[in-house]
Amino acid sequence: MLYTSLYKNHKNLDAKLVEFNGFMMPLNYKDGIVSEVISVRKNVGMFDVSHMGRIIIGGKGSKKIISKFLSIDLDDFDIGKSKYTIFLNKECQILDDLIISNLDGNTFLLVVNASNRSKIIKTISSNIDYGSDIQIIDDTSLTSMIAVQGPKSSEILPILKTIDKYQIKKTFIDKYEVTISTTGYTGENGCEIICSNADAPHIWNLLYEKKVNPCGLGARDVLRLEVSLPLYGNELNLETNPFEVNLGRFIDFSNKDLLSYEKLYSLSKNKLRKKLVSFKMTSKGIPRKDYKIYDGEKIVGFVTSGTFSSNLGLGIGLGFISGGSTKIGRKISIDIRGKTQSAEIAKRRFV
Amino acid sequence: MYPKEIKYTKDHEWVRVNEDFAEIGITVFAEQLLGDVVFVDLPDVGEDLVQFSKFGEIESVKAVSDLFAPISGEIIEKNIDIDKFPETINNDPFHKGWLLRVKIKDNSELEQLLNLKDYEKLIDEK
Repeated sequence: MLYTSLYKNHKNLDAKLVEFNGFMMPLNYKDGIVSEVISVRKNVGMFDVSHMGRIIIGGKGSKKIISKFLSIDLDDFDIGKSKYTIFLNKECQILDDLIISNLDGNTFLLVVNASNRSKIIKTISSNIDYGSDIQIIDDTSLTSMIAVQGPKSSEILPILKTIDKYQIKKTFIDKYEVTISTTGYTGENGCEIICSNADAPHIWNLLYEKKVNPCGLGARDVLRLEVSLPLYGNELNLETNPFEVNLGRFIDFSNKDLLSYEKLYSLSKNKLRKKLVSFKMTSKGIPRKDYKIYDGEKIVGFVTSGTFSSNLGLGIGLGFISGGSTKIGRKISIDIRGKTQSAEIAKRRFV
Repeated sequence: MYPKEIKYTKDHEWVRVNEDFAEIGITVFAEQLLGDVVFVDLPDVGEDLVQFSKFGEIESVKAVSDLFAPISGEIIEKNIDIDKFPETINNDPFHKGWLLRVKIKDNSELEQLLNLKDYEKLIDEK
């Protein structure tokens, strides 16, 4: 079992801890998931996201190697910028979704899902030519990461007023040197702070004293679903192509170095086998992963993620539909443990 | 924290026997394990409960869990407040957060249940 440098902070706050991808992480703190979700939507919350993989790729040729796997145009990606993108292997399978940041034009930071970290490192490493100058550093255990999210983030961290979304910058919080990127996984403004393991507990306490509400993985899942952000393992996997999960808008076909370019291009022209939709319950019950989706009497798909949105007071979810209508407003139903409950396809943003 | 006058099941339900009826609910331990309760699916008034059989489901943000009857009997009242305010179960599981009121069929079934001492022993082991 792995422990983040904030483990003691979580213990002191009476967190309910669970194992998540090999890390002991807070599921929620004592006031519960619902109040944590509300704190992020209305105010400001913080999450220990140190379990997420931080991989630094630098040296001559780093751009070239990254371009083989990420469907972005690195020539149109300025220093200090961050971008959401997908990592595709040469078979055009999604190995991960991640945030890449351009640190100095030659060095890039990849923040990847904990579950995919070693897979990503292996895939990149095995494509480096013998004798090249490229360096890959797994920074995950050397640093910590705290996400600060919510409309009042910039009151707590005034520097956020001066930085647009999707940027990365070195700065100080109090006396602590940090790197902040204006990114997140909640649909709210805010940032993710990368700092040394030694400073992390102090920064956490400092934020706590400023009334930033500690939030766990439970709230994080509700928040990402309220804005239909996909999760690797649920919506994204090796059997799903980017267009089926509405990620076509993150693909830049001007990157011709992409190993899966031809396959990706032909996929973009093909009819989709399935399509990811957002839906909300119009009756009681909470959709959960793998529940069947019906259109009338016909099974048309299955739920990939579901939860209860406290902001809506309803169950919401994401699911794949194949061979059925995916129009917004379309009436569907979900088989919730043997009971058919009505639902409808909805817009991506629930809040 | 745990009332003495009521009896418990291994599955963390409780029953309190009053003069005219018995009240059924879930314990603080169950409520804390579930986290924020958002939805409870209960049978209707007039239906019968069978001791230790499943009678409904309770759902929190993160999980769903079956409810098992601590005692057999006919349902005479449902707590309609928890439909609107399921958080009552988290806030006051032993009083305002009751689920059902039943007319007990057979008082001797109470002997199958745990008293406070035994129930506390059970949750201490967890």
